[in-house]
Amino acid sequence: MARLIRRGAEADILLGRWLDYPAVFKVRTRRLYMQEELDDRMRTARTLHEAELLGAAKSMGVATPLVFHVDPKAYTIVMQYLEGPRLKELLAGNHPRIDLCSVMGAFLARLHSHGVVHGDPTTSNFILSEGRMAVIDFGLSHRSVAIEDLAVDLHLVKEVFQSAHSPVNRGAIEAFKGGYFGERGSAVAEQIWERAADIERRGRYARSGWGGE
Amino acid sequence: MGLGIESTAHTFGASVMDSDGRVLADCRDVYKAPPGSGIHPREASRHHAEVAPKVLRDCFQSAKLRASELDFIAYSAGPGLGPCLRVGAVVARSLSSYYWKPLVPVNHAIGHLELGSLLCKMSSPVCLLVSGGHTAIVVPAGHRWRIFGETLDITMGQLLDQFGRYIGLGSPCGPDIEKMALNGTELLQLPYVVKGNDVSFSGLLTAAKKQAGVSSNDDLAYSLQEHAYAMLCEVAERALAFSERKELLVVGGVSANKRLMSMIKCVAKRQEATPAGSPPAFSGDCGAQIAWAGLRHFESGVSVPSSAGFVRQAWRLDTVDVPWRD
Repeated sequence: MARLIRRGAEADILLGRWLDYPAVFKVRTRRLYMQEELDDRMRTARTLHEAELLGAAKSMGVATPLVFHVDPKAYTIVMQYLEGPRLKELLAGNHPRIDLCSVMGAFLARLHSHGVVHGDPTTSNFILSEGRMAVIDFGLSHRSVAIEDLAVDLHLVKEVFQSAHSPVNRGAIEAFKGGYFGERGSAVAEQIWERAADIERRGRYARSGWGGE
Repeated sequence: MGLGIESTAHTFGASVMDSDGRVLADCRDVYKAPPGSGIHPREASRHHAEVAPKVLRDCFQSAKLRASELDFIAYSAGPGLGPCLRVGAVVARSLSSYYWKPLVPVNHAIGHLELGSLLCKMSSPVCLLVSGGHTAIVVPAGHRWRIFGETLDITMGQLLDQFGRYIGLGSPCGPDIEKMALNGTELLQLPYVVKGNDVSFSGLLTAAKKQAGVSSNDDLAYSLQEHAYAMLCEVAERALAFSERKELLVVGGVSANKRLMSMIKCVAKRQEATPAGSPPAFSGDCGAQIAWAGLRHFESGVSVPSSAGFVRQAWRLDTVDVPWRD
């Protein structure tokens, strides 16, 4: 029987077996705070979407868990179990692995150059398993090549470094940027990076300096 | 003990609090915009200038003390509407220079967060700050309140007000929309936009306006609330799961909404966290939030001379050092 190993924000993560392999069962559970109609619509869409893009990312050369089975009626994806610490944990503690942020950057760039926006590039969605990085959780991803959409991904990365990894924020962003630019090429990457800065400036009260008086 | 003066938007408020967190007085007078229109900054600032003496007098009377007994004067220095902020700053500077009291500029949002934490007895909560000026998920870490996620465009309060005014309600429209929503029966399909930990409401506003006159206002109010609050709850739940904290606090004017709070309770239960919302008397803008945040700043050694009592219309809460927090 599968046992619960993590309760995420929208899904329960259970560990079990699929044929002879250890497998993760990602079950999008009913969120009682939402109207059922809205919740069902979203859970179905995200389940199908995630399964499709986990596969698509793999063909782009971005490591993701292998999808074994999808059951949209049960809002469940069964996939390969990747054991290992998440980037979130690797950036905490006394020896933060800032270098890994560059792999994170390269992975996102690779997805972006193939027209895939991850949608939730937080540090809990990158896992170091058997010495290799992998990306998970494509529930909020979508296909787009619009600079604005790609830039939102970068904005989210900066936001998570600032809010959750403030002690290593600067180094993490630098490493990430190096990885992203290296994979994407400076010309295009620069445009997207600049747009991410725009998004930040559009934020509430983001204009700098003292106003009035 | 100290005086807090609030004047960022529609409310002019004054409050005295002591260092044990007791509210000795909290008085306010709120500018009412005519139906169908929003806050006019000039009119609101005129209102503040007119009511300031009476609000202050009431405050000192109900606290039973004189200005000379205060340790400091705190005022909301931003973010907010320039003309309104300046009224509060002028009052604060005048009191400060006349009575020789240190002046403490306070970030209005930090006021909401700190007063909410105090009144709900939460030490290190994931905070959902929802008001006319802010919509953000904030977590204290590394001596600052860190923005975990926020709106990419308009705030929750702006969404409610701009939609409400469009269908002819008077600002603030939240309470009326909440009442109308209770009569709604059909859940309309509207845009639901969550990007990572951020939300975006502008598409939802446009879609709801387009649907006005086609669907009933009750159904629209209901569907608008259900979509927008579900988005907030989703990012709140994400913040709880990611940060692995066990307190969820809602502060700001929209925390007065019962539907939002019942949804938030459900989120907290899923993540085995304790939910809380500002007590109704202190969910809206008030002097107490400025007095309390002012006290914490003052006790950490923050104050400025009367001549440096400026305002900052744009002042992000995550740029403020809060040394009293881990």
